[in-house]
Amino acid sequence: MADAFYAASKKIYQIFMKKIKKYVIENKLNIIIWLAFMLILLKNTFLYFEYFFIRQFIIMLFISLGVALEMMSGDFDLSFAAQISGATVIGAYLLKNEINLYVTVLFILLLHILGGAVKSFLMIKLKMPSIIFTLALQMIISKTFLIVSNENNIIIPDKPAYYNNNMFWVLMAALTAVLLLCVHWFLYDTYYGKYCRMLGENTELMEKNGLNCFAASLIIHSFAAVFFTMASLLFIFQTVSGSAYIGSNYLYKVLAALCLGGIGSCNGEGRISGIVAGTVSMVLLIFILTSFNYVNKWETIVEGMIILAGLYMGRIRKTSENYLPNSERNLIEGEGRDL
Amino acid sequence: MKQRVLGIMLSLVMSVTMLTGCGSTAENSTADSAEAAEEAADTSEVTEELNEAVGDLEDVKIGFLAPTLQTEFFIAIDNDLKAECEEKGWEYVAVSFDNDSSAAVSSIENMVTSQCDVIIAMVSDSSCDVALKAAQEEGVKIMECGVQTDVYDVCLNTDQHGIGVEIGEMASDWINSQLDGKGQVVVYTTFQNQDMQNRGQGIQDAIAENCPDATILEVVDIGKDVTGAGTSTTENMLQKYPELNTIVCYGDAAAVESMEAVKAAGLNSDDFGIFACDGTEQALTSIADNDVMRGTIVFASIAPAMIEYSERVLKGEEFPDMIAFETTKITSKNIADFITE
Repeated sequence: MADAFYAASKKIYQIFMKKIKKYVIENKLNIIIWLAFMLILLKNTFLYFEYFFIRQFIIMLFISLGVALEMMSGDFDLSFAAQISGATVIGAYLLKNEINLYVTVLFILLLHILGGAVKSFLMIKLKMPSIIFTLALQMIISKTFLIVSNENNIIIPDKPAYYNNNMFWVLMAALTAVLLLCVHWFLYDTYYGKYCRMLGENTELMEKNGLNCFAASLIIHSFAAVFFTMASLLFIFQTVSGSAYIGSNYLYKVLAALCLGGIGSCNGEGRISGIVAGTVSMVLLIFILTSFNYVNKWETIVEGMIILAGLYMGRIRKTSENYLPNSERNLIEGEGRDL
Repeated sequence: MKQRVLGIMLSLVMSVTMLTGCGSTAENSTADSAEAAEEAADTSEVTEELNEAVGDLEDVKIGFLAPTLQTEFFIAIDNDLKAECEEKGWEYVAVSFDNDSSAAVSSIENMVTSQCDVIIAMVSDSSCDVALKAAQEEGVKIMECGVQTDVYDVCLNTDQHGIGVEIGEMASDWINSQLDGKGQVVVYTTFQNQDMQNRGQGIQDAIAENCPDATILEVVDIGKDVTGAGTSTTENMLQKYPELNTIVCYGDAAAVESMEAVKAAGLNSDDFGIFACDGTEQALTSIADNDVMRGTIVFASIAPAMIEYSERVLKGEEFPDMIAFETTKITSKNIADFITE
């Protein structure tokens, strides 16, 4: 009995250690950032850190999840920040004119779904390279909303008091957890989740197999639209306004977070835990840079370096002997399915 | 399935642990701060007296929030603030939010967390008010500069219409003395920013009042800090109005560009004048060189004023009303004195 218990314990310990080792290997950069933050925390006292961290983390996580879904499906999206900014302009305009909040939410969601549909059409039907057409879309959307808003912030006169409401952020945190589970379910328990990664990995093969790539892409982009909608709304609540500039700063931050999280650029790779870890790291990194007055000169350099490092590590993973294409990995039980 | 659930649980536990880890430190800090605040309240009078007696404050951290740190104007403020803080032995952080209000809010939060005592916010409107209010509630002093919203402990600003009137007065004086009041004027303003719109209106009001014989040919919206707009607009205006002899701009950047367009058109004579505001180096040099740039307005040094009022507000002084920056009109008459200074 004791031997059996010992053997079982040992097996659990080995599995646990294996998981830990795997996690450390996959999150080397993240762990370095977390350790750096812990060291700084030992020497400095930061006030109210948890409140601000949670707010910034939730907002960035919503955007990261949306972009990660798009990237996993092969759409390297450079237009998401402009799309979110545009949605804040529309949302603020509607709220300013006393349109019901639910109608506004619906409108913003439809706007993002429309954006996703355009991207799906250009990528799947017209076979355009996503990095180029999303760059063009970014410019079109950004400039259009600058003209529409006259380069001004659209201020909502009756300020919704969500920003300083702790209960609101608790609910947001709960909603985030639920949505994370939904993404996990979508990616690993639905056909469209599998198609999502297959789209990113080999669209041509998917088409040859008779699968409807456009429908899959549309559904994936619609799912991403939910996250972009959440981010747009949070920006509106946070600033009580909408503008063609709001959220534009998140472009490189989110791409860097996803690189830190091991989300492959257009090859269907990525885990939810990676997205979460990468986002935590980026929020901490921006905080560290701000606290020590390095943010202006170093932020974009650091983000650029992270993106390069992420791409390089992705390349190493791909050329390693043990590398399995994502679609094949799905066939092996347990692989690619854990959080 | 079990593995997945375990995975989910592990992830959540890790996140919560991390948050709790960070939170506990902050919680302790919050509790400490609350106690410290109570103690501070008890001894506030003593502290105030002590501060007045001692004069200098120590362990102060200043946060500067700028819409950009890529233009001559804001870079100069940033450098001056840094130098002033170093001189006083204060800590200093500066963040550019690139006109993105959400980035401004995050930066305000990070400044509060890293214990800034004063946040100097050069925001453009009330979109950061909620975050500034939250910072204020945590004991951070808020200094607004260049804008006046509902949330501030001290506000350094200018009466933009008044600035416009001053620019208009300089132009009017020149038109009356050089052109016998027969000015053919184009005003460059922008309708995309309320402050600049007010400044533009001030220019028009001053010209109408002081130069009744002058004609304002057109009031042009040249956009907000659009590089190249001064050049292209001036080229168009010179073609549209051959009689044009005076350009009055809301800012030096467009004025300097206009000057180059006027010179390129061969119109740089004594009977052509350009007037603006900001006192940039290029504008001042042009005035000193007797170029078609005839006048600009210089503001009192901004950074020293920011530091002075930071110090005063930290010592407990209250400034419910806006504090206006002093301005100086610079023309060929006093440019030598100014450059010597």
